[in-house]
Amino acid sequence: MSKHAALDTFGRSGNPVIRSSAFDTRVSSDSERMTLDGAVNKTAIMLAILVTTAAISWNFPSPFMMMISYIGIFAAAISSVVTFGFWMPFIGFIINPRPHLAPKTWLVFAAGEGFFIGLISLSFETMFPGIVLEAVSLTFCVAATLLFLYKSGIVKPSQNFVLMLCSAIFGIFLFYIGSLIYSLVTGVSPEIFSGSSNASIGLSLFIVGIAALSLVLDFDIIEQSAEYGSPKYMEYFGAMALVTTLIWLYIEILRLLAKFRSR
Amino acid sequence: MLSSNPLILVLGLISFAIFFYLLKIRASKNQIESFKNKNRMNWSWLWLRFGRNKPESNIIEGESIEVNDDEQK
Repeated sequence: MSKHAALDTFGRSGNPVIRSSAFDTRVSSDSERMTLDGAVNKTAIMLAILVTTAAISWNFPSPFMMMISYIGIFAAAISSVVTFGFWMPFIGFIINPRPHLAPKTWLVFAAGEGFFIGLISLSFETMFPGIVLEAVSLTFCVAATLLFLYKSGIVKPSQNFVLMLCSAIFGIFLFYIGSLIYSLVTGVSPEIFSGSSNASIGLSLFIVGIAALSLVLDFDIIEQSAEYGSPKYMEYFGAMALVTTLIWLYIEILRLLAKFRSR
Repeated sequence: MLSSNPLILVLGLISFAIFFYLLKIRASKNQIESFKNKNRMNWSWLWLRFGRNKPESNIIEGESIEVNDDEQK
């Protein structure tokens, strides 16, 4: 019998509990593994559903459609909090992300957000004709540029980068909440939020920058998940994350263009 | 709706095509290798934490057989 029978049986470690696979991040069989193609297909399907529901609310504006869009954005917000969780600086996750729920929440998320985006886009288009297509074009310009920077390895998100970005996103989130409360109390949205002053445009540029950098995190999640052979549900999760950021970037670019046009 | 700057629209169409093309291809070797760096963000906690696709158990299943040396001799 071989002198290395234990090595032959258990691999490098003699302890059967500590096999080499203990440190393997690949977790599923080949048929259940996430692929880049799968994530891209899911992103395309989500965007198609979003554009379809946006087109419905754009073409049939009515009080009923407004109610549908508010219900839609509320449902989309709940499904995104359930899937992505809620993070606060210094505290961490208050609600943990549950990516395995993404295959159940993505449809509500895409359709609900679409209804709301359609109405917002229509209101901007009525004020500034042609602004929506410009915003969509610029959104994809920014996204393609950042994707190139990421894929080529020029931008590599480190832990500090992610922490700073998440803190900035949380700050912007607080700013949105503050602006909402201010406009509910006074009946007018704050000048820095919706005005066309230099400070307001500067702030919008900053938010567009943060939204654009957030795309890098989504690309990184998709790339790492595919590289490590993560479970299939990460395709939905990655697609949801990417679509969320694209929509955020689109709305911020829309607002920025509106500010430039109203000067 | 189509009254916007045509140059921006063409740029948008090209960017849309480039975006989906780049999304489909694998990242450069430089980027993939950086996943192993210590200070690099690692997202594996997202899928190792929840769901039915948990990591395989490291305990080998099966019955243990007691080997009696005296009987073999």
